Amino acid sequence: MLTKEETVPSQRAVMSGDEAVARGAAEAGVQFVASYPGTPATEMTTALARYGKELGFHVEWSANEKVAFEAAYAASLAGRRSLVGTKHLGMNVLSDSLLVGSYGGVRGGMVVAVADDTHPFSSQNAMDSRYYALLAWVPCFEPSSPREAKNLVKLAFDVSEEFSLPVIVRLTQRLAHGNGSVELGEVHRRAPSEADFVRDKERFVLLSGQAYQRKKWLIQQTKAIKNKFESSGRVVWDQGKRLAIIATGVGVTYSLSVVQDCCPSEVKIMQVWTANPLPEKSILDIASQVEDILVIEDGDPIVERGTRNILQAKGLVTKVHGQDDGTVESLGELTAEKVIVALSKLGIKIDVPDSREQEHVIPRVAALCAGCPHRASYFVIKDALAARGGGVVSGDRGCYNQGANFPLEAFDTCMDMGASIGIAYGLSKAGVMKPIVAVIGDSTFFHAGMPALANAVVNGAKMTVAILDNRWTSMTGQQPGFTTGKTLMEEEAPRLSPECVASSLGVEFVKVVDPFDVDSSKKAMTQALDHDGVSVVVFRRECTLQELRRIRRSGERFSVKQVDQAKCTGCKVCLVKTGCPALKWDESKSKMTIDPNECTGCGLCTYACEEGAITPKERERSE
Amino acid sequence: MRVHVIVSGVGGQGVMLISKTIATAAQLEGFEVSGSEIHGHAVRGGSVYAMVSYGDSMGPPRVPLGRADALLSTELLEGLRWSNYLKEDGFAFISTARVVPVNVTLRGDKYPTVDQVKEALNKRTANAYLLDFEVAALSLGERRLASAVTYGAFAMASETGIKPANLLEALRLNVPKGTEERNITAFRLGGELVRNARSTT
Repeated sequence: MLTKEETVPSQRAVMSGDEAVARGAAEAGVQFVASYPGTPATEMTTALARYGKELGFHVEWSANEKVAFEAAYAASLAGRRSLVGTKHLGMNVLSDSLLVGSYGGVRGGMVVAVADDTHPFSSQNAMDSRYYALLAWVPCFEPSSPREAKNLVKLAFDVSEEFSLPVIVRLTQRLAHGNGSVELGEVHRRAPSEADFVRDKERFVLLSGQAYQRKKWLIQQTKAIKNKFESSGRVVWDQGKRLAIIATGVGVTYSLSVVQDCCPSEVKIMQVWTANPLPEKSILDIASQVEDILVIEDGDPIVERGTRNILQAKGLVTKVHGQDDGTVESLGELTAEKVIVALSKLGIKIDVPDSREQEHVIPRVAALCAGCPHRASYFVIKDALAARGGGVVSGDRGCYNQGANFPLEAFDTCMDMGASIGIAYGLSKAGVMKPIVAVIGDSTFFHAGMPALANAVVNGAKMTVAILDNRWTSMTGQQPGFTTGKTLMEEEAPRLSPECVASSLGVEFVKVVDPFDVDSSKKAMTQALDHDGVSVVVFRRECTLQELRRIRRSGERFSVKQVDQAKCTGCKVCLVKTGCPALKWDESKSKMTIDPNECTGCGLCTYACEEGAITPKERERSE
Repeated sequence: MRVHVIVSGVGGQGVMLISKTIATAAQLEGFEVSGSEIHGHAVRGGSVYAMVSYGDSMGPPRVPLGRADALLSTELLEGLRWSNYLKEDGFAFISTARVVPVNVTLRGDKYPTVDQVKEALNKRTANAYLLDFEVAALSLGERRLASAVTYGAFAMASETGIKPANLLEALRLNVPKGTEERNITAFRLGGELVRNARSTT
């Protein structure tokens, strides 16, 4: 359901950058949305699902970003306006289609909205997606606020149709998960209509001769787009004669706030919102007015290098400062502090704040939720491996990543989506004789795990794949996946079964277990490790948060666990072996206790305690 | 005019609810709102924080170091973690409730004492309030109300530049339907706690 404020036009609302992207797409009349969840981009698509239900357009979680791009691209060829929402890493997955799709070009406007985690806060790298705009020869817009995000998404659809190219709209996490005031325009309900695909062999059958011709077209389009945006730079602060900041994305508001606060009369600021193509005329114009340019952008020095190119081509000697010459720190997300330090290096008198951490601050190690079935799966895998004298565990991307943290430290590698199986296979093939286990979640398995499993079966390996099937894409906030039984639009869907996939790919040993049934799970895991070849164990148990949600709704009560204080020896083994946040250490008595408000009663700690001190608690808990 | 607020705590304590409510209140007052949240992989139990800035023009998404007008925390350690973002004599409303991480129990990290946190805050400000917002919420029968208590302390006891009616309306708009009255009671209690603390010092 849309909220009241979302349906009434000409009102203002506070929205995140992601929600503003969704709003912009809805106002632009988007008709087809396909994405895969990923922080910090997930909320673009969850917000669009609400619009889609209300206004009658299709929104889905696809198997992965490449499939999402192809589906949205096809929708565009059928004349629909379409959008793909993704985090930066998803750009790598969809890049194969994007980098060819730009040669064919689009019909209905197509926008790829990407949110880069530039710090990174919850990603395995901090790559900059804008390189893909250069690789694919497509335009890339960079909004500086949720308000601009909404407006630039709308413009992106128009530009996409004007030049027949997909347009990338790039956010970074502070904008994607940032809040800002946004003015709302009209959204329209759409009646269902028939689409058509009109054959155009010259454009859409991209054999090599054709690709050569299309490259010619792409070069022409690029020239036309450059002309259109050559003066799009916007001077947002016009003081001083020596120094100008060229800023993109969140760099605009950081630069403005620092300059307004600390050195208002000394610096000009120009906003560049077209990361590709850069506004040549605007850049030459501001460069001719100052001696030094400082480029402030959240990510790699892309606008910085582009600016240097433009000035060099015209023989301008204005110095361009940024990351390449060490004026701006490259590590971590862009901050106001980085702008302050850069300005101070360029001779502006400005107080550099003391960034040393406070005394007594300690880290807070993130843990799996209390009652998480992944904890039980790790417990079983670790025990089974320990009985074999240890082994190697390759991990994958998902909630179960928390199992890599202290004290579980349950796996040895973690890379990109689906890599667990490829890494396990490679280790086995390279001759590692220790037991090898790949750990992968259900969504990740359907995203990128299947080809690697097929590869391991055909080329031969001795390894076990543990598929942690909790029926949801949980890491990104409980999105339905291919094992959930419903779609993002809350329509019923088939529940795919990883064990059937494994069997039909030729895996001979396939077992399905409930990880909370620790004894049976351990037995299955041990047999799997003994199997000579590729084995698969599916640990199936629904995400605890879903179970708690259901219990909360039904008002049903369930029993939790307690520690018998007389039997507890204070050895802490329960916590060492489970890392469960419901286990609380009582410093004064040197005994373990269980917080009845956090415990879900899963009982894993009863297997960990060697004293038999953990028992069911009489008083029941309702969530 | 610009007000910078940081809200911190542990996942599941309602940090995002507080920041969203402050943003809504500022919006109702007619300010331009900006800010950001950091969340993603820690559903429960991890460090979370949000930043909200509001004023006459669009501000940055992230509060600069040493510039926060107010720091609200639903947890003691997380309050300390962000205290160097507070400006001189900024307002701090920090719950003394503790969520002790596993690295304290098993790895020997020392959880800071209330006195250590007090000392750190007193170096920066005379407006620091360390109160147990969780016990206050439990006195109303629900631990979950601690976020509304914390918001109430900020709303009713600092210089927000936002009218009380808008602060209250924002709370009404952001809490789950059917819990409005309980949250408003908690909100009032938060303000009262700070006023009492003020009169006794």
